[in-house]
Amino acid sequence: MKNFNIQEEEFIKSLFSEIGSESPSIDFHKRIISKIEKKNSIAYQPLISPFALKLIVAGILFIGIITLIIVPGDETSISYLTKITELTPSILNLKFPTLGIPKIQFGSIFNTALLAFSLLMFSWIIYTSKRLRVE
Amino acid sequence: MGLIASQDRMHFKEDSFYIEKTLEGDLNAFGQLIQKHEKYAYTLAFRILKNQEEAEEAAQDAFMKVYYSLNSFEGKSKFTTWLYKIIYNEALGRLRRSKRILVNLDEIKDTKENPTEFKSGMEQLQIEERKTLIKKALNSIKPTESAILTLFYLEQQSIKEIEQITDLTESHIKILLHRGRKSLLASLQKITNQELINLL
Repeated sequence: MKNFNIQEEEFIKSLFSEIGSESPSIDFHKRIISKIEKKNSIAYQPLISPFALKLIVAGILFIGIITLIIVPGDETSISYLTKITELTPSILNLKFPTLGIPKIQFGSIFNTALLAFSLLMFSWIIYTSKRLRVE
Repeated sequence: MGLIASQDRMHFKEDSFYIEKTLEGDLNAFGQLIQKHEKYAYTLAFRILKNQEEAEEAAQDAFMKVYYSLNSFEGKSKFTTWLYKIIYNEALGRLRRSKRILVNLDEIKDTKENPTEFKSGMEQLQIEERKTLIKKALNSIKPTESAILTLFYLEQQSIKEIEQITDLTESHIKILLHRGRKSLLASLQKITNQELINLL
């Protein structure tokens, strides 16, 4: 029995060495590499680094503040920069009188459209964020 | 590593060399690592799935998984053991998804055939014909048995390594090896007899 098993074992060994291994297609490894390359290139990489983004935000804020301070609201008003010299103890009463924001009157159609757009935008943001979370 | 396998991989460097290079970002090194192991990885997938295209896809996906989890490979086991485990699971997963029957240990009856009987019959056939018949016989047996036989005889993995690859117990692997041998011999005998009858 033992002899038979050894014989069987040797025979099966010889079968496997005879057939050897199977070969995949010639460009098998190349296809995997190109898949990896493709996947790596799609990977999310922010175009602007977080530092640059902070710098841009700081720049915009700086420009905004400078505009408030230097540019007068209209022809009659004086700039805040000029007022600084007049200011001594009343720093708490600071206002921004120079900033003349025009009051814009929209029509009812525009307001409705804006509202509809905002609602659509809001629902789209929720949908996209959920989908991204799932992915 | 077995003699057949090591001869095929002789002109390649050690796995650790390619792994280190790949982890440093060298994709060509990973290409070399694939080339070193593609034949055996593909063979294992093919023995389970028994379909060329599916086996290639499974092996490809497994290699992708290897690439993306290479930094988690601690080197406690051999790289091939880790690779074959991924290939084995990937191929079995695909087989399950395609709802093909895996293995039923009680289905195959123990045959009392004598290998010498059809050994002489086999010798009468031409080499290429013999190879085709052996492959045919291997394809006709159950995927898990075929995979275990391939790991044991072709890849020459030890029972311990096969345990790690398949997550099966030692006794289960021995049963599968025994059943696999019997099924292969039975299938081969059947096919060879048919072929010899056709030749006569």
